[in-house]
Amino acid sequence: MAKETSFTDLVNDLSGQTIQLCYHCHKCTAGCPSAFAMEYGPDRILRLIQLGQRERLLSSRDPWLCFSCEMCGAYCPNDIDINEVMIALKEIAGEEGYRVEDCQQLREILADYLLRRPEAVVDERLCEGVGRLNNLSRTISASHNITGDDNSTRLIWSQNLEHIPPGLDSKRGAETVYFVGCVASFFPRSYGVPQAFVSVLEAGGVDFTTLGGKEWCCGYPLLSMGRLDEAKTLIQHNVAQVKKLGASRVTFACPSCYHMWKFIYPDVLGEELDLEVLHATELLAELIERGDIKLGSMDLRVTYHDPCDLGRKSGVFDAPRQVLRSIPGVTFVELSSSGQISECCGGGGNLESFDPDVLFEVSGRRVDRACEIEAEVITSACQQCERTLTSAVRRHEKARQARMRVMDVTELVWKAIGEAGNE
Amino acid sequence: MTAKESSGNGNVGAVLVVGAGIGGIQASLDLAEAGLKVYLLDKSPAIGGTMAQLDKTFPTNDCSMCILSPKLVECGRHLNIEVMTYAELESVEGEPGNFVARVRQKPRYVVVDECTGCGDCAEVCPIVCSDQFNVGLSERRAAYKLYPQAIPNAYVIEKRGVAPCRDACPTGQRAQGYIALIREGRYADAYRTIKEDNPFPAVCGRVCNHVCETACSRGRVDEPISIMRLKRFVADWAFEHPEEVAEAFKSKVEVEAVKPTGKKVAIVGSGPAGLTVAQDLKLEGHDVTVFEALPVAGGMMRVGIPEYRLPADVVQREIDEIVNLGVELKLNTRVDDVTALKEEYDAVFVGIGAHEDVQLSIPGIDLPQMLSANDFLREVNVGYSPALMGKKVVVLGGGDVAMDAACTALRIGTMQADEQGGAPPEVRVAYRRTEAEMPAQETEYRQAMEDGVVFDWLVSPMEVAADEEGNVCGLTCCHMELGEPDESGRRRPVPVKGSEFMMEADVIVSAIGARPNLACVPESVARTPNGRQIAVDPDTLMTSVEGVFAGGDAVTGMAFVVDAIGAGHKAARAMDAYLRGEPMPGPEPKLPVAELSDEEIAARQAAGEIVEVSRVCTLVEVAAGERVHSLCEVSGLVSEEEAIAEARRCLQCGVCSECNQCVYACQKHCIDHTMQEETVELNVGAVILVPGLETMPGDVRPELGYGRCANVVTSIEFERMLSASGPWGGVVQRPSDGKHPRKVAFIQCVGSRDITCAMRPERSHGYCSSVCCMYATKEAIIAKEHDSDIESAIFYIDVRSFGKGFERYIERAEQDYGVRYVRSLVSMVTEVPETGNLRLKYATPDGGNVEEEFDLVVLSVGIRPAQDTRELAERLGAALNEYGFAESATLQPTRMVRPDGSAVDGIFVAGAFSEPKDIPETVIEASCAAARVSALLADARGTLTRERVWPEERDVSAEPPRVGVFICHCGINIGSVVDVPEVVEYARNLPDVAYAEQNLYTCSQDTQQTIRERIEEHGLNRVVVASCTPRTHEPLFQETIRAAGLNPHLFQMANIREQDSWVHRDDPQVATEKAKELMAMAVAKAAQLCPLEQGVSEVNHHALVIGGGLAGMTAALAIADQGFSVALIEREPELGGNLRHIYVPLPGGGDPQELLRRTIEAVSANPRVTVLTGAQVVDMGGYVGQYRTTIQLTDGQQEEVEHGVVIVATGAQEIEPEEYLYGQDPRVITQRELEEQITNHESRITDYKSVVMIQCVGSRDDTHPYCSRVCCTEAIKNALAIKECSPATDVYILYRDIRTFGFKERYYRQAREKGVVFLQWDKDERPVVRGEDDHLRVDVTIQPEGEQITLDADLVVLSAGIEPNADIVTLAQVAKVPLSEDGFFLEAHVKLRPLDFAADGVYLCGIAHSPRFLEETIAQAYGAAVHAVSLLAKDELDATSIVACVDPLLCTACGLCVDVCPYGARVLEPGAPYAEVIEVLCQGCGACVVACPNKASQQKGFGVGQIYQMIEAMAVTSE
Repeated sequence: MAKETSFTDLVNDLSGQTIQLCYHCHKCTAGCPSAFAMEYGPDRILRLIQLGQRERLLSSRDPWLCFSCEMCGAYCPNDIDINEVMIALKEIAGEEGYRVEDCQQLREILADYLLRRPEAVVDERLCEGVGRLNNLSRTISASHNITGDDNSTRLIWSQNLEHIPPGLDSKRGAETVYFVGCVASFFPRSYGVPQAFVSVLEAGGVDFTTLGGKEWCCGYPLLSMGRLDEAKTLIQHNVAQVKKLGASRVTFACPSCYHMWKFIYPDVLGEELDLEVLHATELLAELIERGDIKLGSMDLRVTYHDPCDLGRKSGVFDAPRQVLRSIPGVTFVELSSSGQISECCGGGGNLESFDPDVLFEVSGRRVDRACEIEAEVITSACQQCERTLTSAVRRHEKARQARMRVMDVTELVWKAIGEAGNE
Repeated sequence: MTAKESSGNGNVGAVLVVGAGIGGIQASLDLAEAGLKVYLLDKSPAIGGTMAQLDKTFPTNDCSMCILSPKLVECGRHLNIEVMTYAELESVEGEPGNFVARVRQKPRYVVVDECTGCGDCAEVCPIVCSDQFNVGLSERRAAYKLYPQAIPNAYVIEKRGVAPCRDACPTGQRAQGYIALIREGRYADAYRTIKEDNPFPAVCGRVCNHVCETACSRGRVDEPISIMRLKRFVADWAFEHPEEVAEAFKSKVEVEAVKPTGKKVAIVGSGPAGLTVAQDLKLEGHDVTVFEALPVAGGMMRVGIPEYRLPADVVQREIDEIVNLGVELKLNTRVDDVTALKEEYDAVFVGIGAHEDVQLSIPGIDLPQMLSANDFLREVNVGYSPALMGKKVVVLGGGDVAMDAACTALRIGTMQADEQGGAPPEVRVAYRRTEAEMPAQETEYRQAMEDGVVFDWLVSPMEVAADEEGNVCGLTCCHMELGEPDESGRRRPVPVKGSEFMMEADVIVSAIGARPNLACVPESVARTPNGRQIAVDPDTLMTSVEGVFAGGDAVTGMAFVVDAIGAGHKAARAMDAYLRGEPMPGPEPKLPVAELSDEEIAARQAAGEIVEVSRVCTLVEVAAGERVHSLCEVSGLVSEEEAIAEARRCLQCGVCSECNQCVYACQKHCIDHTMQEETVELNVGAVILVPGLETMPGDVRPELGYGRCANVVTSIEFERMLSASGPWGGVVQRPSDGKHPRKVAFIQCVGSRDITCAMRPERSHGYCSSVCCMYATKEAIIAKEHDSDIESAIFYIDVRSFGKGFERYIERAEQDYGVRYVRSLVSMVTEVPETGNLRLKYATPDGGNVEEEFDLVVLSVGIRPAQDTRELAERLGAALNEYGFAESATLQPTRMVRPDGSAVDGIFVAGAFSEPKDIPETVIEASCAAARVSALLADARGTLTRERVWPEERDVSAEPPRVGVFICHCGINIGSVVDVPEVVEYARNLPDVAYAEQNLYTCSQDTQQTIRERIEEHGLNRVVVASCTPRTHEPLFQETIRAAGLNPHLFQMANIREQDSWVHRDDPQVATEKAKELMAMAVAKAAQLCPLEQGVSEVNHHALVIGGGLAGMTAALAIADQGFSVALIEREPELGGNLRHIYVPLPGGGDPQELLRRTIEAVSANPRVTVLTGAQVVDMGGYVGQYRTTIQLTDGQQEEVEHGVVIVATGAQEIEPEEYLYGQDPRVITQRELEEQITNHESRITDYKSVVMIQCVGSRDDTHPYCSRVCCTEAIKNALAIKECSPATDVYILYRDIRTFGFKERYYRQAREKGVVFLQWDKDERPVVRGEDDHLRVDVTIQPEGEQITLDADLVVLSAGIEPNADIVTLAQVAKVPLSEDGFFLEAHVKLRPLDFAADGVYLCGIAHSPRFLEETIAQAYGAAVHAVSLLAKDELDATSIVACVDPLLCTACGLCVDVCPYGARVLEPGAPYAEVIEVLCQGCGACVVACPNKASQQKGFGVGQIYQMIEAMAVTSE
């Protein structure tokens, strides 16, 4: 076997990592939530890259099973961010022709790879998964959202608000733009989050608006599948829209949108946004600190699940906790793995599209953790976490019996404001 | 303290060693033995360093303390080592050979030379601190000894500074101290502490303004401590328990017999100031008379403060205590002229208070119902009350006096109404500003409000209105408003025009201030600028008239009781000095205040040490409606439970708070709280920095749970948990619940080999800490030995067992102790909430992961230099590497380097400060540094050392035994359990006892004098001391009797402490009986003791070094540099050894061939070195100091060399591989051969497309079951060299574990960066090399996945290990030195004597010891050289006196003794009738005595007769 140095160099170039620094302590694999479903596991993938096993890697599902939770990078004593490596591999796959119209083409490419490995067969699950992702990518470019719904109906969730805040849709001159995100806009089960958040913003006297139907997908799903190049138009569009309204800050209840805006957008655009980028929990903490909203008492045992994109990847740990602790009557308990070491809920990456079974396994473990500390409510600050965990609770017998609830921090705060009104 | 002596060319024969861990101790002993004076410095209060904290040591499982302790004692007792503990090096200036070092000596508060280590101070100390020696797992007192075996055996008191409460108090009340005593339920002791500063605790416990509480740090957490109420609790308790108080004060009476001075002092005024002066001066022995104008004493305390706040009897009882000291109190005696008292008295104190009311200047103030507050209160307090029933009373003013007057008026009137059946009075307070500006204390104001006093704000009186009978009938007032601030900062009240109104009033009390009445103070006494008070000197309180002092309100105007007491103390100090004619005190030094920082408070809160709770001592008061009907005290008692709970809230800001309990307890009087930090200058020729290490904090990797999960501990914590002297006496238990853990996990590389250390980015920890794999293994083994149910797992990256005997140790751990090694780091540790167990997530070989539960997790934390160490190094101009370790010069171990890269002379670095390392490597480096110093200061050797001179020994052979017995109380250690007088009486009656006495501390310096005197007085010829352990104290007593002319072996010791009073603490009677038995045995043996002679032998000052490789050449040069001649023997025709085959330097390292050339040149040029090549040792005879060695030259001729010492440096060889086609296919070569190619045939390298290196060839296998230490680094070095000259060449290294320990990890990282591919294989699945035409093919099964791949290779390089030379066995026989299991030479002790053989005078270095790197070999060579020199520097050697001897009549020449003797001291010449002892070689181990079947071999000083006598004595006593 002759090593192909160029493959290592290629991956290093694309990912910005130095993968050969790995000395195989296996810590990344030990912490990886989807390692159980992988063929090789994270640190072995690095070895295969180093050994030039390009086709073997490209015919494996492993890179696509990455949740992008960055747990591996948080641990790595050699500071290798394997999430970036996984994205790079997906990017290479894209270059290889994985971004194809139908699965048959993909099967042919894979079969070609496998000619050199007679013992292997084409992994149908890979073809199907990639096929679904290809569809997703097409949907995004066609409809500018992840569901394919009519993008002008983005504010549909506001219809059943008792009171629709004035200026909700594209108010010029508003100080703050609330970037709602696709999941909250189009998944009915997540409507509660934007509903609660805009109500809180109004109660707190924030001068805000949304981009309404002019909001486009933030680009996060494309980043995760190694197609950031396709996201550039979206990014430019979104930033231009916000600037057009003359706002000075953007806020998000979705940590993935937030992460994109805060860290990826400036990178892609090659310049600072010149906007204040705030997550909802940061904004809420500010409102509470200033006394702009008043919270009533709720006798609840509450825990908080750190979304990967908000916590580990964006460094926001304190704000949500500050918010929860300031609700009178709430007993706040930490999950045994929280903060920097919070494990993924299962909703990360594009696993929901690629392989929901893996997602179910991982989200169940998170509910186990919540059960052992006898939490009545699991809060998160991400509608994707909320969706994932809600369905995990439904499948989790103990949690179901304990009538455990899953809420977004914004929803709990809105409830607490309601309690204050009742007092 | 500066020693100025030096040698001819300016070199000073003294050395400063910084850091007294094992490295510093070793360097000091080496230097002192080599004739240099040593100052051994350590920042901690005892020497011993990290090694003292360790439980056992690997790979022998020796008890760390057991092997360290003798070194500690040796260091502590060495005549030429001055141990300076609790001291830090500030700076070093000067030239190599002549430096001035500035050392900061921190105050220990215990006189170290006087302290006997009895521990009485710690026994009484109320301050509880976390014990850092036990890494915070247990607690100790503020007075403490670092650890039981500490040297110096002296206590230390931890003090941060003055607590804020004490700092704020005018009397300097040690509040934190008495609060701690309350917490312990020691109220009488607390009372004594309070009385140190305050003669009026019951008063101040009631009426103080408690500025202490304002200053209290606890207020920053929740609420300040209720200090005032705690004081009252103690004072009231003391009143109820006079006997306990008397008991607590007893020791004071015994100690302080006051000598009368004959000086007379007059005090005018019996207020708090005057009486404080009276007390203080009386206690100093002066005659004191107090003059008081009123019929009662106490001043304002008695007549100014109403009864309901401060009952008269409370004041009186504290006054009585002062009067009862013998102070004369003259009541009703008004002094007209205070200066006139000077005629009769030597000094006068004026404490007349401020009793005169300030008068309003409005019309009508002289009406009869117009009262002034002080007059009013005074009248009431001495028993005269005006009729106030039903009256309308208006009080003017807003201060405390106004509140007192209002509430008193209300009570008087109400009581009259109760008695006479009328209406209570109406009382109003009129104040010209608002509530916010009122100066009254919050409590007083609140109580007045509750009592029903009505307040009128912004009201000012204008005129008192009278009725026609001339009685007050009202008060004309006007409203005010607040204007601009005045000089007091408060807004000035301004009348509102036209707002006049009439306030109804029958009685008006004016309370707008008071001033001193200075009628009795003549004009000759200067006044303050405003003319209202007496002016005094601020430091002495002396007035303008000499000998007349003043204080209290008379000087300050109205103030608080504590202010007056403070002034009283200050005046008394000055007056005492004045009366004694001593210099007057200057300004009081401002001591550092122990302010807690916000970070500290936050950290203590985070650690759960501080939990927010509000005050426990809430104010209890008589109900408002009830209390106005009498003058009974309003505020209620604090309960004992409340007081203790409140005291627990104290944060102990100052740590030691000078409660003085230790001062009272120390019978040696060696506690000195006035000690201050001082700077000492030392003149030294060189400095060695061996400051040691600190362990990485456990939370350096947060995901591993330290700090988050209670049962995650660091390895150093676990080490203490295992130690018998640790927090739990060696019982392994969990911190959370004390349960015995069954499953223990060790996680390696915590803070090592980690460039991120996520949360602490200040420094990369990319290096390997070198020791963790081994200590984790050791801890796992020891844990199993403690509790056989424990199962351990070690999670690791690479097992780095690279040292001598390490590989076998790991194997034992795995096979004999079931330790499970798991090759995966743990990603995350989480706690199972219910059980406190820990879930560890780790990777499985298939690329997945699992979770496993453990009971306890130990983090193998790495090591680094402490922050203060790095700062010190930077101050001294040392270069630090990127990890913060000290750099040393390339291939010149211990030579310090400046940041510009230049090497420094005169200052050396050694130990873990220059790279993480194990104990033996530290000891080696310390000796290496000592060798360099010894060479630098060779000409100053012996200029500053001292030698003890002894008087001529008295011949006692003709005298019958006259035993003197000295029995020690050891403070209360022995005396409180054993009835010492009874034992003395018993001893006196034992046969042969001529004298017996008891001593408080037999080991103290004054007792040594006593013992010498008693020997003389009573003609004693044997001495027995019954005290503690001979281990530490026998040499001291032996020296004492030697100084009195007795042979030191006429001494016997009985241990009645460790073996008696400590173990039978609960049964004094049994302990006393046992003490008698031990006594009888000791006396019986003593009577049998004979003088033993000290053998001496001459020393030949010439050295022999065997082996002309790097080790031998370096050692020879080092000896020569230190001034001695050497013969260097090399069996090959040329010098150089293995170094001749090493070509490739490490990246940035020195060129090996250059080193070879340089060293050979230096050897050839050195006139003190004689080189014999082609020469072999064939015979070696003689003994230490006198060897005779026969050498055979190539031509067959023999030569004989006489020498005093010998260094064995014969090297080792590369293993010749038998596998992997070596020798069959020319494309398979060894690393050594590769180096030659790289250096001489670079072009060939660039032709290789692919090079595969295979590790562990001939190492770690069945024939060589050890690791060759260097091969991983060598392979990486060569791989880097290939990459350097041919980047396109693929290099694969097939390894089992990469063992690039210490900073060598850098090269491993560099190699990976450069693209060298590392593939791991398993012992059971070795790679296979196949030779094919085009290529070599290497099949390897990669771990952990077990996947087999095949690599094409143009070249296969085998990393062949190192094995002993074939002729090592012969040489070992000739030199009579032992070999290890692996066939290398075996040193005397693997940890502490790595360079010595067990036999004196024979040393070893180089890879004949074990495989090692060049710089390690160099360090060893230097180290061996200084050991040799410490012997060569002596003219004669003292042999131990306790040696074996042979009775020729009993000896059957069986030779058993010869076989068992490890030192070659027993000989049986062929045909000789009996075996003999070579006394200079005998170490007195006793092995031959035990082996001898005929009892012909005996140990001197432990003869069979002596032992029988002891047994007999015990048998007699027992009957």
